[in-house]
Amino acid sequence: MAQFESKDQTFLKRHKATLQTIALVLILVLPFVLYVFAQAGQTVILTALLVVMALVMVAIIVLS
Amino acid sequence: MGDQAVGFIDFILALSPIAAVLILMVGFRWGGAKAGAVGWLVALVVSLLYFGADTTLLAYAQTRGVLLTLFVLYIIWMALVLFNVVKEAGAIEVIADGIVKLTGDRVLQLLILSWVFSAFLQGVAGFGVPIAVVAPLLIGLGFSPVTSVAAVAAGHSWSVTFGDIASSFNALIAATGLSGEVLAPWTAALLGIACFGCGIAAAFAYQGLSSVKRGWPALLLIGGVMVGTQYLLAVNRLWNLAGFVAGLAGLAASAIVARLAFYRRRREMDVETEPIDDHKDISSKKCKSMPLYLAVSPYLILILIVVVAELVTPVHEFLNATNIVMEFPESKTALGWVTEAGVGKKISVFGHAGALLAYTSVAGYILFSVTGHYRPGAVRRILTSTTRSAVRSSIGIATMVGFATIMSLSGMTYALAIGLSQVLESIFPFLSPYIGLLGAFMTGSNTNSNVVFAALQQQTATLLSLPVTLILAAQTTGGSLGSMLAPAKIIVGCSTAGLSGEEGQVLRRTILYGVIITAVIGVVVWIAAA
Repeated sequence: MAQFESKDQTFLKRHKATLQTIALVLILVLPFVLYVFAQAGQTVILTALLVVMALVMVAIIVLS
Repeated sequence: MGDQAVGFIDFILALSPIAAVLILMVGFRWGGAKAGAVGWLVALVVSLLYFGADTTLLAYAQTRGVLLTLFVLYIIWMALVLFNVVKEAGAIEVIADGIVKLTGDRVLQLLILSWVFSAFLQGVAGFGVPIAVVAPLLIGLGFSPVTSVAAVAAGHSWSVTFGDIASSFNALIAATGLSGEVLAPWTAALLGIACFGCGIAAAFAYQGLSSVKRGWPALLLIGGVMVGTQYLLAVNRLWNLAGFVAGLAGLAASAIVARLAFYRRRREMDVETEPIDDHKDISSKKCKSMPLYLAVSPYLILILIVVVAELVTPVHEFLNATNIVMEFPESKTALGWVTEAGVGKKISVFGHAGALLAYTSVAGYILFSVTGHYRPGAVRRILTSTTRSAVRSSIGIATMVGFATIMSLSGMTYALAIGLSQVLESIFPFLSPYIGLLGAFMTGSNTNSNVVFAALQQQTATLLSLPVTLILAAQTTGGSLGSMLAPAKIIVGCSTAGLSGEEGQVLRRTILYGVIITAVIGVVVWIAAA
């Protein structure tokens, strides 16, 4: 378990910059996808996408 | 909600995202990106569970927010590209070297670098660049590291709102929906007062009142030129250039002031420490062969491009013909808070300040390439350096804007505004710059402060029948001054000055300067609002 945690941390450290860039791209692109589904009235998909955005925020907290 | 009845619980919950960000940044020293993400999550949960927002409203809030974010990031990224184009050629060091050669007077050297040159750098780059670049130059000249960081932190703060091609001022425009023409006069006036305050603080950071006495002719003359230039440009629709040209005008005025008999006597007694060779080398290492006129030419090109793009009507219309525009329907919370239908923040693809910076960057790159000032791999280094410094601050801005728009569309900002107007009615004008200061302190950015607090200040001013443009000017002036005590900026300065881990020493000084100058602004706003 401890080994897994340390491997995860090393992975996060090594790819921190790339992961932060991916997070930035996601928080800049996802709102446009949200807009499309909001226009279409797809509330279930909106909920799912907002959960994805929340997960991106959690990822930012972990990465920063 | 619509009938202006806001209870204690409403107020506390409306405050919760801002409070979370504040506590995490100040109490736990988290960065803006991390704290902003927590603020976003808190705003999402509170707006859904208490303020009656639904998923559709939140989706539109995010899209409105991302348009605002892109509007601001377009400027920031392109400003950083331009700065790195110039820096990669070694031109920043050439400009700084030219300044140092102007005078042997220690106080004038300190003022020119920490107050004038740093304002010029803020005009072209921002985001901690002035502190990161100028503090090591001052240390190289023999000033102590703490004095160097504190002087630059205080000295450049006045120029933050109109600096970086007015990105903070543009954020104020975007967040309030008011025009730049309406907002510019009071903003330029209050920042003018702040300019003198910042100059005095920078001089004071060196040897207290004796430095202020020694520096008063420069403070008066250079300050007058910078304040006048900034005001004239800002009120004549050229706010994108106001900070940067004010800095340039200040440099020109410095060259004249350095020739005054008062400053021609070299003072040997006041060297704080021995010059540090590593830092001193910065000014002579790379580009001895580059003449000063070539070093500043990208900035002269920028002036030309912005003036033509803003003032020559056919060019202005041509460049602004292609826009990103999105329509939003009316949204309503379960509690009855209504946001009217309308377009979100419009982004002009080719006429935006960011586009003008991109044209300048290309022109600057060609100029330095043709004259042989780049080593192989320059483009890669420019892009890497830009990305490295921009990604984290971009995430910070995106998350802050995200939670600010959730708060705005779900009525949380309005609830806060009513609460504040009830509690602080009589002293609100005095406190409004402090709200801006607080925003910059907690987010490390005047832009973020405006994004988070401008709508709140606007609504509170309207509720209290105060002049809205004056209160918003106070907001952004406070935000500008907040740069001198924002931990995020101080950390940048301390890291390049070899003071990592000793930020507290610098903060102790700059907090005092920031609070005093903001109090002066608050009194002026209070009197003007009466």
